[in-house]
Amino acid sequence: MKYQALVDGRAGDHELLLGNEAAVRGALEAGIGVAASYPGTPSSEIGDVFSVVAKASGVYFEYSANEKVALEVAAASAASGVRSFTFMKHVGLNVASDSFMTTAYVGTRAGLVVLSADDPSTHSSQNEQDNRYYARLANVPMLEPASPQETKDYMMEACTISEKLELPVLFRTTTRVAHMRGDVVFGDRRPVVRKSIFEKDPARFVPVPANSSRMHLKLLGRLAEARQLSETSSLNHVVEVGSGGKAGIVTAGGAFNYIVDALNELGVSARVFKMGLSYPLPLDRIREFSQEVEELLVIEELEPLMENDIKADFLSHGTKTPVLGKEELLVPRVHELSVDVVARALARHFGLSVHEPSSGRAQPWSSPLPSRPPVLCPGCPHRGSYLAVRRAIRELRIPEPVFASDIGCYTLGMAAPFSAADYLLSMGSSVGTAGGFDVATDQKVFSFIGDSTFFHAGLSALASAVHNKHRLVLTVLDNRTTAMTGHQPNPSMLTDAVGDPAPAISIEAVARSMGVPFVKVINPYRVAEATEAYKEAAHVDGVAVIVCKQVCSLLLDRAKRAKGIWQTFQVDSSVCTGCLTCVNEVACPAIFVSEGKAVINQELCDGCGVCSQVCPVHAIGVKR
Amino acid sequence: MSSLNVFFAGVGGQGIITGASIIARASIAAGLNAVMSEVHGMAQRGGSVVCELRLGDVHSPMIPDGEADLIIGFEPVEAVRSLSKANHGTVIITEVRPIIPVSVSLGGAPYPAVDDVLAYLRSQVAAVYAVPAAAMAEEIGLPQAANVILLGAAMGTGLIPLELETIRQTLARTVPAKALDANLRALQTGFDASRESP
Repeated sequence: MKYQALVDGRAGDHELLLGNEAAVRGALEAGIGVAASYPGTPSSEIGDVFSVVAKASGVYFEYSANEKVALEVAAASAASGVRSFTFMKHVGLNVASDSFMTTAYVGTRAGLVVLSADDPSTHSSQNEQDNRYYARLANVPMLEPASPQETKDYMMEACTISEKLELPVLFRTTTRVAHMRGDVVFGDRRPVVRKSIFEKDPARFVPVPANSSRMHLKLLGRLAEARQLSETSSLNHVVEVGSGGKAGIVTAGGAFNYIVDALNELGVSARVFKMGLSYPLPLDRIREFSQEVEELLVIEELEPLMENDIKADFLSHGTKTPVLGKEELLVPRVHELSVDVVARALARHFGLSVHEPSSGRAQPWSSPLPSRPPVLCPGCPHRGSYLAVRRAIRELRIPEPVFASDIGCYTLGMAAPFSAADYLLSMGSSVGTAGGFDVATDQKVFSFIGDSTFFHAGLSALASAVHNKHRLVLTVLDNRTTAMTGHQPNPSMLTDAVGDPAPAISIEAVARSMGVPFVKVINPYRVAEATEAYKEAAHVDGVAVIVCKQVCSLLLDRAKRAKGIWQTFQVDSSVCTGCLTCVNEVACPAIFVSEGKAVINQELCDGCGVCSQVCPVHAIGVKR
Repeated sequence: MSSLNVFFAGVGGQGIITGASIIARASIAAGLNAVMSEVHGMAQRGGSVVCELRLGDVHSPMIPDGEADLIIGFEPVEAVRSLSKANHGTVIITEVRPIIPVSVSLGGAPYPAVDDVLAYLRSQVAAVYAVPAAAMAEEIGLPQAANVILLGAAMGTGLIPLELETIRQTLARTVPAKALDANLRALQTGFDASRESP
């Protein structure tokens, strides 16, 4: 079994682990009994690993329909006395936030760990919000690891703190910690408690107004206790870089790594106060620390949160040590930090020049290089869907259609030639925003949502659209998986998170039961048929749902290769007229132009045949 | 701060992370610290991807600009794109077979001639090893082992402070038993390709 070492590993063993893999080992060492998630990068690999190891390690693991449900599963399980873990990407916590806020009020019995994987620099997200605000908003303690080793170690710490304070703990990572790989030394595994008994206590667990006002007061008392924990915690400690440093630096999370390397690169000594339990801050200790240094530099990714807390605290205590943060050090408030960014800020501050490679830097290529943004894969069924929509719109001469997009691989349809994403907010937003375009304009609205996203946040939006008589053509791109995040299952599939059989929910049946007047299931590889379906749907006065059902080509290719069924297409250059309809309408990575004619790269072609259906002179056929 | 910085650049799906992990794992087995930074998610869909590997006494898994000691390009244009990480003392190993991005067919910037790319790389860094890894892998009968050939070529430069045997042992623990022989051949083929000056 892949990841066997995570299950069997003993104290003292060590493995090269991704931060996200280390989180799972940490959960196993902490005796987590229940884990629930909705996949989202940069947290996705945590679920991928649980899918493999959950059964072998006696843990219950599920992919819930969305992050809010996942958090609710974990919260109730922890209230029942089972250590529980829920994990999601940063924007997933927005979805879960309604329940998250109140878990702080009702509290927990067993450890409840809520991991948020933030994405500074938006490597794979729609925004780079700083979820450290959520710890402050909910009044819960927060841990921030800087490495895979700490990610593992802090899981146990998180459970201990959670149980001590009877509060959920926010466990905040970032892309560069979640996707950092490094050596991890294991600890012992605590036995898993999988089942317990939920002892009723409505005064504690039911926040009706009479209870909740009291709960809020209790929460603030617990937060004060959390502050005391933070003041004494070994997770908050001073690291000496060099010797005799007169400057103090306060930091947390992955930024610590950049600071240490930047100081070493510059040859500057400093005392770095590294926060592992970064909320509530140990302000007493920071004040004491400030007495031992000449100045305090606060270096943190994204928002100046620690900086503002420290400045306010120093002001109210009359602490004189200067505190320098975002504005004073010119550390950007956007995007992730790096050794380069931190070194530049420190060099400026200390009046040094940044380290240059002794042999001089290489110069970049002078003219523009061909860009290589992510694209829909060869054989991706979404390509056929977008092609059909575009053809239907052209044939019906629909003026200025609006494309309301959603979160998934299919957002890549934004690129030419499909240009099929005009507006996007969040998971499920394609359906709700379509209503806005419909009521505010006379433009025809085409929405696109994936199968997993449909169950995540599309259901209530669809009910709303039907009831409010919105007019839209909603395409459910049903590729039988959650592709973007690495092929996790969703409620329309026959297997669950750990590979057991599960009831599959039919998307078309759901749409019909909601009273959608036009529901059609098509195969997007059949271009003419799909185009006709869209022409029909465009005339519907209300919601039309088209389910484009075709398995993700990455999965299909894997299955075809395993069975030894493989065909590719080729262009007969004696027939090809060089009209390039295939290139311009299909835009498949496998098709390129050579000497004015289309050529299919046989290594990339997956044999979907969509291009052969658009060639006006039938020059594309199966390679014999 | 002493470290060896290895920058991997290529296209999603080329086995870049696997290649880098093998060096990292071997390094840790040999008692040398290793940290890596990887790209997962959206960019993997045929987009440019990079993987950064640092051996030695460092904390950040990302390589500062201009500080790569070795760049392994899995595709010629991606090797050029990674020059921001290079200095005039850097060594580059690059696959020579282009993967033409869709943007070129759709009227974007043209794909430069591979000879021009190699000549430019040679003008900027200390040494460039042009390794036809994909073609070599096909010859061995294991087309998916191009990454292991490039890994062998990286070892052949002598820059990575590890024994080839340690890499062999790591491969034996990493790849399926039935593919081990072919992978070991791929490693040796790559190693031989860069043992002598380019």
